[in-house]
Amino acid sequence: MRLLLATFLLLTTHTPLFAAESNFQVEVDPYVYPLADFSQEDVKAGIISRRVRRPDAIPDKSERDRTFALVPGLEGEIAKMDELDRDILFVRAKTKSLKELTNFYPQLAEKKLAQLMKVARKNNN
Amino acid sequence: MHFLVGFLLFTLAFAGPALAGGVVLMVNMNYSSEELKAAMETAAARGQRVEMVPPREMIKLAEPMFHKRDGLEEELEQKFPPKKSSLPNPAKRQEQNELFAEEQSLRLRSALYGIIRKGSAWNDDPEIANYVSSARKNELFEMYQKVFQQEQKNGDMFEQLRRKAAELKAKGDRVDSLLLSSHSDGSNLTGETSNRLSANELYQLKKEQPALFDSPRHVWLLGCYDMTRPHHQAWRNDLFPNASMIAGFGVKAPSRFDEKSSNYIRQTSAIADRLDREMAAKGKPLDPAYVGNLFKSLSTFTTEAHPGVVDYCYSVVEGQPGAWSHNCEDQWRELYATKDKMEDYISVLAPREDPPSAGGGVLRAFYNTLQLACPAQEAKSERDHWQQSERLRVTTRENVIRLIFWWNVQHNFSAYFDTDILAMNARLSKAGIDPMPQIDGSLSRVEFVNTYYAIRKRLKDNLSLRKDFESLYDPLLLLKGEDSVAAGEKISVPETLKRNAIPFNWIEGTTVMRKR
Repeated sequence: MRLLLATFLLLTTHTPLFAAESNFQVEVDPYVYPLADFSQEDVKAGIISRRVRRPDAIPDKSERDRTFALVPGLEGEIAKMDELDRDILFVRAKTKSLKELTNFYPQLAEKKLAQLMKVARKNNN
Repeated sequence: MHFLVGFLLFTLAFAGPALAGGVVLMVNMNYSSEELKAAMETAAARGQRVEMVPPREMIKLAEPMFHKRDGLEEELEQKFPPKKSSLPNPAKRQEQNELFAEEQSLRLRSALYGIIRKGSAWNDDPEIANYVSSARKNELFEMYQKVFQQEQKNGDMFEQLRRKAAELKAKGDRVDSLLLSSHSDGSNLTGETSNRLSANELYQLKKEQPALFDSPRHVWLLGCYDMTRPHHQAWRNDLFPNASMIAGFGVKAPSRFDEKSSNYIRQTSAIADRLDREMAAKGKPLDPAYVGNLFKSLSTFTTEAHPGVVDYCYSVVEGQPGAWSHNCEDQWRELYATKDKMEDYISVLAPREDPPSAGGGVLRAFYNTLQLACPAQEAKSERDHWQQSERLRVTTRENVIRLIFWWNVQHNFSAYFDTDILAMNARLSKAGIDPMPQIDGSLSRVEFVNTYYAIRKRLKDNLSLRKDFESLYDPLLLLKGEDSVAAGEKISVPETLKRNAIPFNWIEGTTVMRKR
């Protein structure tokens, strides 16, 4: 399983010509795998660059629902929406202007949309 | 709060006198006379009539065939019992016995379907073939042929339902209740003969005949899995938003020959009628606890083997804990199983199905399954590799959402890359290769992928052109999304495309960008 994890999360580059002291370069996510496990003579281990969430990333359900809950009365107005529609609303709230949002969701109160935009952008995970 | 929304939708759709009249429409894909009888009793009590699709006369033709088939199956089970394990360890012995039973069940089922399809010509399993006389085999074969031939004449379920909806509309009949009786994987409906009704067809039908879906007060989904959470959500939100009641079962639904199934229709319809009347009289939503207790008092609702699940005005009542919301492990098991089924859509090598043009159909249901599955850390089966499982969820949802909106994505792709596509076409023509068909928002994805590989194959000796071709079309081929970028990396459309991903806002139905 550890091997699978490594395969999944590491970038491995074979560099035989220029790296006399190390034949392999490995980039490790230290939150997933300890860097020390790769410290061998012919392996140059480095830390994989920190990742940052894109504002247009689809949210996890819990993150999205937490955000929606911060807008009083919103849940009742979006009860008909399924997961897909809710996720799209969430991403749009983070990336579109209020004018665009009101065009997309004329059935939702502008005040609630403005509030949603604010909390969604504030809680940028 | 959901309850209030349900109430508002209900009152808007069925204000006052609309509670009376209308017809009960039964989609009876396995020709159940018992369930039809229950529907007719329900309708009679309300002064309504029942309409059935396929035609009611089919029951006389099909049900004797099913009884004959099931009788033979029982006989074969007696005559050919499964092997018995001789392992000394009791746990291992039980495990092996279960395996033997499953193998034997599959063997008998395969024999039965062989006989039904080929009659006395079937000889795939000589031991069973020799046991069943040729006359019996041919009798079953002929009965099945008659049903099959009549089904061919009736046309497919989609066409029959479309015709029925048009006919009811022309007569001014409102569908007050709808029963869907079939086998189901939660979204696609199948019969035991040739009757099929896919989720995509249901979404298409909703687009063409919205009244069929918007008018029913009560909906029964009598197949397996229909009322497990992700599927229920699709039925409720996407197909029947106005119904006061959607009733069905969680994982396992009872057989149509089990009287529980028909009694379930009788009992739930009586309760739903009562609740509708009370709600209309009070003019406000009913207490969810009161509603829950009424359904839980029904004998057919709380059985261990087939617990019911009812959604009354968006409030869900489970006959047994977990009937609606699977346990965490089952949710992940279902997620993987559904993902496998979606391969015909998702594949980047050889997709066989185009994304549905309206609503998202089964892909949308799959997306909901993905997002509704519990955190992987909470599922025993995922715990030791939960990061991978969550990663799979993230990459799949980013991919599937772009697939659902394939038609918009390709439209925005063509708008943005207009000049590049023309230039590439000119270079391909010069190299004697037919260019990509026009990408204008209506190109089949199956055709796009097939053409992509055909062109790439022809470019095997022209590496420079091949590299440019791939760098232009790979994002559209892969339909990847980025949820994150390495710190310091740019988040812009050109950079996103360079990493072979499609910007999220290309799923929008409007042109979001000018050509680059």
